[in-house]
Amino acid sequence: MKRPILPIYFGIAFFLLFTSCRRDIDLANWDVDALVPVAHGTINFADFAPEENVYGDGESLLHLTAAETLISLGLDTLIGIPDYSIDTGFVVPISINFPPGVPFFYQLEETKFDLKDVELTRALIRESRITIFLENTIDKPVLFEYGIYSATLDGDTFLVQARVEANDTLSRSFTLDGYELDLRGEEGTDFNTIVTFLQAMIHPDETQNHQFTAGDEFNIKNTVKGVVPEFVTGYFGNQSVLFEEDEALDVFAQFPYQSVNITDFDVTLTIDNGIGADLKLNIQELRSENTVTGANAALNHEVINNNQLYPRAINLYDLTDPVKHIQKKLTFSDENSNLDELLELRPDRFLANLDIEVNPLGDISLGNDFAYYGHNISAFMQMDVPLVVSAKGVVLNDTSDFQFIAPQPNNPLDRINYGSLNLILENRYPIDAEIQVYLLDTFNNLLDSLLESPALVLGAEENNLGIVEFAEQSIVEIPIGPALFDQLELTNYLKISAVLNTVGVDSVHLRNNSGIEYKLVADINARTKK
Amino acid sequence: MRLAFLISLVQIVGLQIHAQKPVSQNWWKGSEATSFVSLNAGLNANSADFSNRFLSELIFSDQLSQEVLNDELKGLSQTENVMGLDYELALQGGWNIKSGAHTLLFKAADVAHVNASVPKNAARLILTGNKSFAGDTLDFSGLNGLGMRFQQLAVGWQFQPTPSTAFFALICFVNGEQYADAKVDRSWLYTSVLGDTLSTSLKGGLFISDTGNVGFATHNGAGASLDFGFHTEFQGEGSIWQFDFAVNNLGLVQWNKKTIGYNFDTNYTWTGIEIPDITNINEQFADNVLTDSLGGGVNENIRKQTRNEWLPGYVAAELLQRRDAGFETGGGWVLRWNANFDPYVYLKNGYRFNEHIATHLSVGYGGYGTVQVGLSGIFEWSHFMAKAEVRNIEALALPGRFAGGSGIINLSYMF
Repeated sequence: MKRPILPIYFGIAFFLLFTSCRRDIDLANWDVDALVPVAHGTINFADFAPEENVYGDGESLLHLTAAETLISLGLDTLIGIPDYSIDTGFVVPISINFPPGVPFFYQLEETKFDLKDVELTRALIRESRITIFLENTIDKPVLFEYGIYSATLDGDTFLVQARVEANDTLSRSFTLDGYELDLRGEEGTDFNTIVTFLQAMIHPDETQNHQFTAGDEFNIKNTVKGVVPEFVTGYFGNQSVLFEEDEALDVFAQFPYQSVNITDFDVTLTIDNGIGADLKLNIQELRSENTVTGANAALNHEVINNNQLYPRAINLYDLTDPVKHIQKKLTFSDENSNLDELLELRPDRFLANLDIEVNPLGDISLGNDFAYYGHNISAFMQMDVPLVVSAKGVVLNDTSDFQFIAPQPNNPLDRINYGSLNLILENRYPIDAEIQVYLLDTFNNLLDSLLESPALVLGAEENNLGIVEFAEQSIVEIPIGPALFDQLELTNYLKISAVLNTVGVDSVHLRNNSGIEYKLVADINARTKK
Repeated sequence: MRLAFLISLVQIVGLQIHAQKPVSQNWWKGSEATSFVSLNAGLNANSADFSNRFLSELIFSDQLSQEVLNDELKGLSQTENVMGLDYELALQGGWNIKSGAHTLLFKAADVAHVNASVPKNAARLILTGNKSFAGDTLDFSGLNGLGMRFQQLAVGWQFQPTPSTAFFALICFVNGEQYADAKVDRSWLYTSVLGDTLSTSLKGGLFISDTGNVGFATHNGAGASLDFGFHTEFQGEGSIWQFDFAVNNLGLVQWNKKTIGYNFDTNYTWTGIEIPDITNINEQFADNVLTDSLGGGVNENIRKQTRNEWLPGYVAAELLQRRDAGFETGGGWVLRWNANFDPYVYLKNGYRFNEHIATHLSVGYGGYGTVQVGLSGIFEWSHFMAKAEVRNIEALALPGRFAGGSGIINLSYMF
């Protein structure tokens, strides 16, 4: 009786054996030492400047260039034609019967602009806008005619005719673009003067006379705005203007150095006179300023506070190229100026106080001063600084946003026991650098530094020709591990600080075929599992 | 109680003992053909190159100690370090037809096999990392491995023309559950002195059955195999000599078209993420997807396909003296295919206490190891038979030198 039970036991044993064999194997942890490349690249000074502000010359020497317009004074500044408005009204004094088509009102008027010492005789209008408002209070339509006798286009006078219905108003706009203005008045001997006329009649289409009643009224308002001349001539007067210019400069914005010794530079200040009038220029002050550090320096040069006379431009009477400008270049060198001081403080703005006097010798052109639109009195500063520099103890600081995502479970970073990030630098610049990287919190408080002590990155040596033949290798070890990760998690900013020293006693050359090749290698001891 | 003890013993042994020799048993159950039911269980793990000390720490502890790791690396062969694992759990039976010479056989089995050959350099790379090879090129070609788990349902027939002779044959349907086959013919890794450059070259292939369909008896392939053999006895030297010959798992599995295949033949150099613009590091790190030409090369060659793979079968023969009581001697050999298995030969000597109980000590050489020592015991009664065999005693005695342990349990009930 017991036998049949045995196979059941076999079955149970089979099941238990089978199920008990299913075990997930969880291997032990062990530690491995790994060398893994993380990143690589090249740092070149040229990368830090806008492309248009840096170039390499035939010998690959880097140059910083900038061209800034310090001042530009045009027609609008010197001799702008003001907006003006003419308000005219006519009230019928007595009751009178008048036929259609016969003017019952006629007015010829001269308007003289107040341009102070400027005495313009002719102008060509580039842009303008004329608005005419007409009001008719009688019971018949009226034909108004408005004309500017001084304005002609291809021999035709500017003339507007408008029908205003009975007891109605009318507003219309026109332009004088392209019209030539004769500003000598009705007699042709005056200046700054235009001649306009206005007449009104019962519209000729009417068939019956109109009986005017004493007190009937007509009102006209003529407004001229936004006159931009293409060309003006006359006498521009003897006027003096003081300009306080403030020009932003962004060429150095990407270079986070605080100061450097620039030993060679080519800076010119070009005064360009495109106005047909003599000028006297006095640069009272030219100063550069770094608004971040507050550092500033004023230019010492013979041009400062010395009057410079600039003869008038020449009218070529060719509308495609109407003016021959008169230019004068002022050259700044380390021998005649201290401009290097202005550049070395890494300026982000230039400030200039300029006094410009027009026609200092009076009306020697006999009223033939001229100016064309777009041909101004300008002062350009052109800068070309070959990067032949000497730097001793120059501090370079750069702070950038930083966000560290802390190692999460199953993240390989979470398995690191200890190790370092090795920054391998192949420096082809003849500049030593002592580098430290600081961790800052959101309030810029110092948390820690990445390096136990500042690391020295050796600069390469130049040969007699100022050329680096062999790169200098340095390895900066950045210790990493869980403690650092904790600090990085609290870090909001990374501040890189470098103290730069050019190699040797002389100035060194920064070339665009040089650079610092960097390779970041993780040298870590890590667990195979969390 | 004794039976319960035996069942418990089976479970414990099934969990913890290991068997070197393949598990399946011969079907001969004695001088008279009879109906029977058997339970066979065995787990085999063995390697002459790795050690029990290392493997047990690797599998059962939380931390692999540096001392064990270093000792293990010292003992590895430069070119080939083989390890193998076999597991089988089988319910077998026979139905003797009309108490005659013919017996209908059946078998249901769950089988797993894993083997791997690891060059020393590959083990060094995995266990110590690449730092110690800075400035050098590490060649770890020859890494390969095979893993397979399948279930078998078999029917067969045994013919016992005389009490001492039996022939058997079974045809098995094979359900392929899980499969992985990797072979790296060429592989090296160069690490520059400073670690700023890693270069590698890989050539080989990898096949894995559907990774989304896992679990006991899931169907990822199908196949068939044959088991056949015979048992005979003859007189000599005043005793009976029993000779068993068996061929097991002669067949193959076709893994279905969801099997993932990779073939790779690529060289790749990694120098880190290139940062063209140092002033904008964060975005460039973010934009850099860490794919590389190696991954690309592999991905291009990934495909899904059917794949035929021979089962890791074997052919075995054993000659064993049988006395009523007293000392017995014998020996045998095992050959395997598709299993990374060297020919295994052994001598077997023992003592039979009476017709019911005998014990044998075997000493063999080959397989996944070198010298291997085993101990077996047989308990035979008219309706019940139990065999237990423990091998790789050398690995238990010298855990720092050998790895493995093998065990077979065979319980049979004859009606």
